[in-house]
Amino acid sequence: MANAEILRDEVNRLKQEALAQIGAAGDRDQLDCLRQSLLGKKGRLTILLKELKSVEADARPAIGNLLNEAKSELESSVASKLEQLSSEGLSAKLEQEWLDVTLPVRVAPPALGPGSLHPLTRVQRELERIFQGLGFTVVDGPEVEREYYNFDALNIPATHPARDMQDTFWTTAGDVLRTHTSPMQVRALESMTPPLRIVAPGRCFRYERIDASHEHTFYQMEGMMVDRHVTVSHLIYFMKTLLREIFGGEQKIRLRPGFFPFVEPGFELDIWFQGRWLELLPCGLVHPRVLQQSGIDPKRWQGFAFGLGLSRLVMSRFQIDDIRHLQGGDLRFLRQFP
Amino acid sequence: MRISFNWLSDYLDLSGVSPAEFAEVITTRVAEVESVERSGGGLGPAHIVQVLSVKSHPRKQNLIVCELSGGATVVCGDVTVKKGQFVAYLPPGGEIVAQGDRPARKVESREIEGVLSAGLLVSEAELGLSTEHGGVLRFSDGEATGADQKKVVVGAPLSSIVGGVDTVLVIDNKSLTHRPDLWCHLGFARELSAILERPLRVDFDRWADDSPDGAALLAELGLKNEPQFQTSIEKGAACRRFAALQFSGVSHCSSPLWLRRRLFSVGAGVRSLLVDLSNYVMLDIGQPNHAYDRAKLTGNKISARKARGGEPFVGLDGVERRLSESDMVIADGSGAVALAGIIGGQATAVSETTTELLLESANFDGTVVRQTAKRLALRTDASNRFEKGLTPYQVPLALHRYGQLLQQLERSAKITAYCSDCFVERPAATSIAVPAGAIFNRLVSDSLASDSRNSTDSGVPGVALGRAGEALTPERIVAILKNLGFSVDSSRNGELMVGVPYFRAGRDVSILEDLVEEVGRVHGYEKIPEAAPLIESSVPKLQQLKCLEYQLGDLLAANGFSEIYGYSFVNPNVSERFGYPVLSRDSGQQGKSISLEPGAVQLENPIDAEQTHIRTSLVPGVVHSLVRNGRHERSVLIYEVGRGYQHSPPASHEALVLKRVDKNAAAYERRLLAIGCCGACPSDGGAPKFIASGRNFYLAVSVVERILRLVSVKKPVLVPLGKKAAAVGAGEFQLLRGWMHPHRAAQVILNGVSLGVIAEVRPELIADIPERSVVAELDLDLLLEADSSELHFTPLAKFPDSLFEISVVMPERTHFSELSALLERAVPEGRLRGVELLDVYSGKPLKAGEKSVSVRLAFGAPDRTLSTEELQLLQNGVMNSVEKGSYSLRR
Repeated sequence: MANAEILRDEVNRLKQEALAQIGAAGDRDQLDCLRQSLLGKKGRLTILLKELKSVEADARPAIGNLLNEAKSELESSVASKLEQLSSEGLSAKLEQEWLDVTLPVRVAPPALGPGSLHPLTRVQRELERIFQGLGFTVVDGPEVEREYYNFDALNIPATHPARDMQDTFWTTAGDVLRTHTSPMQVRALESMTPPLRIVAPGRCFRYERIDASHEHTFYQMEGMMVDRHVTVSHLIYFMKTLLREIFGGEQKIRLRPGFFPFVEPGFELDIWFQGRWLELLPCGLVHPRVLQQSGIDPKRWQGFAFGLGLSRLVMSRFQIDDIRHLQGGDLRFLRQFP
Repeated sequence: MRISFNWLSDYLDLSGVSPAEFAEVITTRVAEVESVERSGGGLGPAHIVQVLSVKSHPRKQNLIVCELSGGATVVCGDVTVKKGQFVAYLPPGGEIVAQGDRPARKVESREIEGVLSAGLLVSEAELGLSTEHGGVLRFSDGEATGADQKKVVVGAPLSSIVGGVDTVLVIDNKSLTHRPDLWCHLGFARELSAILERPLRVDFDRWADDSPDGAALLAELGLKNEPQFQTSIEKGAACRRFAALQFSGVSHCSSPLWLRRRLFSVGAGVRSLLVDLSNYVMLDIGQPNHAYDRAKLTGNKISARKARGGEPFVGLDGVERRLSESDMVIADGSGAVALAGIIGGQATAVSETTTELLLESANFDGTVVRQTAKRLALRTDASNRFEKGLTPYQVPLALHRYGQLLQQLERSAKITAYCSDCFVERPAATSIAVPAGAIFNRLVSDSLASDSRNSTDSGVPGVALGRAGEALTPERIVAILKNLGFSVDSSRNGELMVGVPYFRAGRDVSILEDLVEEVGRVHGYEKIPEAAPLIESSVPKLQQLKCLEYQLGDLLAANGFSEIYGYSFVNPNVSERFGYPVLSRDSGQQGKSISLEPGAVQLENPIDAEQTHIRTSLVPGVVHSLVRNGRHERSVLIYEVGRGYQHSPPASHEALVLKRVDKNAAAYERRLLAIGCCGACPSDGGAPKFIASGRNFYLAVSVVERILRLVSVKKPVLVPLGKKAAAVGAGEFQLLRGWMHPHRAAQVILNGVSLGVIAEVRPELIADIPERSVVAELDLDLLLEADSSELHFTPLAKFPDSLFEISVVMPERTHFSELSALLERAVPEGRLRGVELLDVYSGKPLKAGEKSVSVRLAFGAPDRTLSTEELQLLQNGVMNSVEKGSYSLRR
């Protein structure tokens, strides 16, 4: 009988035997011993591997394959048994940890611990307070939004570049993650009857790589007033009132042309801040097509709308140098806002 | 988009307008200016001199010493400078512009290797005219001057040839998306003319064929009915107009210095006169156009057509691309010669041998151009303009302007062939009816018509925009519109009929509100006073959820919790590991009470290959944050108020939330609160053993109960989550999820509604932190729905309760809830007024596997003090019930 045949039989026998032993191993130590005796330096399979030299040259590749397969099969068997043992160990441990979850005991949190509201929440609350004082209702809407509300109803045509994949997150169902809080204009126009005043703070998304000054997740606050005879003068009044409240005292501002399809005329409102003009909030008179689309007669009703960049406001308010802190969930950052 | 002040000065008088004012006017009236640049800064004192003599430098071989007309001697590094040449000279005090990393520097008289050099001979790059470093700028050999027609005069300042120091505005392209007319200098010249009220010096608009002379001028140009060279538009091609003009007698040469400098100053490349002119015309009047070498075109006809699928095309950039049927090409007898509106073809490009050229000017559909440019990742100056939707009426402008400039610069050039102008789709003229006072009334509130005390800070310096506080009279409104090129006619009832000029028609200006913007911005928004509106006073409605968010935020923050904001994206494997599979699944194998669980919303284009879904729960994020902070904090208390999304409401949720399920919603939204606790508590020392082992769990329970009290006085019930799902309440929280410790998890039930869960996190998920972590998650919408009962006062007890202590021995794994249920049953309705836990004890003398639970019961009645007999009866009832069960009394 050729060496090849002998070796093949031996490998197969060893494999069967070893698999059975591995399967029966009761704990880690036992498994460790078993591995040494099979796959270690002087392990049984290792010794068989060395005998490959003695096999006839033409049969060598086949036997070599067989040996390698056996080796990897045993290795993976050991590994999976190890995992099984440790998860069994964990389960056994958890099994010991029964707790009466219905016990009526009260544990007080550490008294006066260093709790904190997120800086975005703080600023958002402040703005909500101001706008509620001005008669605006705070409303809220979905972050996963219909394309219609995010674009079409806002007079953003199908060919608008903002609809490209590089700017907007799309879901596989063809919806979007809202790219601004402006869809809330439409939702408010649909669900309320004018005259109306709303603000809608919330989370928005843009398809953007994250770095110190860019985030795909950011926060805005949309505002809108619809009434009879709304003019640019009114818009300026509300914006100046808002800024007086936020910054305390009269602020130097300017309106300049800005293009947003859902307002006409559209503006960028800049504020004079630390010796230069800072772009703060886009705004404008609600585009008549937006009103019409939601069934409101633009001849009888007009409105203004604005969008406040909450993330940006928070960053400049607290001199935060890296936008990633806002979503980072790091207590060393959060506790600075008691 | 870059706009040159000098270029604009060709078109209107800008004297007295400083660079700062120029930028200010554009910013506040037209479009966003990103930055202001100075161009050709070296031109100040630079002038032309003749080289009178050239000597070699006494010490250095690679330097020469030149004597110049005017008397100066300079040392020069360009040894090719020869006696008699006319060269550019920068005297001491002049400035060499910054180039690359080298900053700008002043020219001084200084010794160079022992020879005094009074100033320098300079190159184009040193003057800031181009990137050309090829030695000293010369005017004698025709090579540098190219097609300059100006005679070289010794002593003439360079600025007389190439223009002086220039100011270039870099305009934010996004602010011009809606203004196709502003992608050129002519557009900005029109704006400035209207704003500054200074007339335009040129009338290029007469070339547009909606002007009275347009047709005649076109015919004159050679666009005739029976052309020798034909243009055509094939069916289905997204082309509204296609015209071409043929020139002969052209030759290859470089552009004159002034033209190259202009192109350089606005960031355009420089090639040869014929190509440069094409670019120049586009930057000048805004119409993209393309010059073909006529000799390389096959046949006497070019047409605009759809590309054939797979059709190859090699562009001017030398890259071969395969086209698709959605693309559009210009084709001659042999095939595609240009990718319509994007780039010309290599094979038919003008070159050194060109003597005849065909100039194409056409109008293509913006969307088709944009899609092709995007698909091929080939965005060009032409495609950027077409994307915005150009007017077809400006097609002739390019032909006229190119011809005008070419004939100026190369006298031998002639228009030789009659070509055709194929105009298949003429947009109708737009006119807008404006009711009397309508424009004014949208800008300014009536009550403040003449009051401008409150006008905003102008910030605009005086020279350019003067007249702060100027009233917006009807006359002024008409004047502004006319200055902007609109026609204004009054009709009988005081209504204005406003005609939109061809270059603004289309998407840009079509309704009254567009005119309001035109008038407002040119008048100046800073002149519009602020005004409080007269409106009905109304109290804004407070949203319940908003109130709850405020309250629970304050509550949690005051109790040491820090608010986090987590990401909405989740890795599906992580979500799965936590027990929230992203795919929809029916988990109802275990009985009817467990509902179908709808899947998570998946992103088509995730930012990161792993974060592909929208979270359905806040728990994975909160655990992540616990782990992250737990590495360096002893104790971590955090919470998040956020949203989870699923395709649809879970079946068992539906009945509860039906009324607020929005049919127009893209996905089912759940507003959630999650709190996370881990780490040691400083006040832990004295806690009894039975509490210490589950301290964080009981802490979470306490916090959750406190939160529930914000909306309901009813007591919540905690039901253990185990392998057997308990059939209590509604909601999918009944599942024991992957993240939960199997023996330390409970659902929170209020008024029969399952609001959420509290559970210890499985240790393998938080391997990095030593402490036990507990997380709770509540559905805030369900919380608000769960109890709608009104608060009612309960009369205070008039008679004292009687207390009774009892210790019950029971199997170790018996829930307290079972004991309290037993006690409730044992006492007649209304008599048991409280059960207080005193102690849980296990150990000797109890058997292993047993525990003793001590409670204090309070018995009472609202109308009397219970008698001794009554009490005895109640106590006996309790003791009998305990012993009848599997429990015993510890005496």
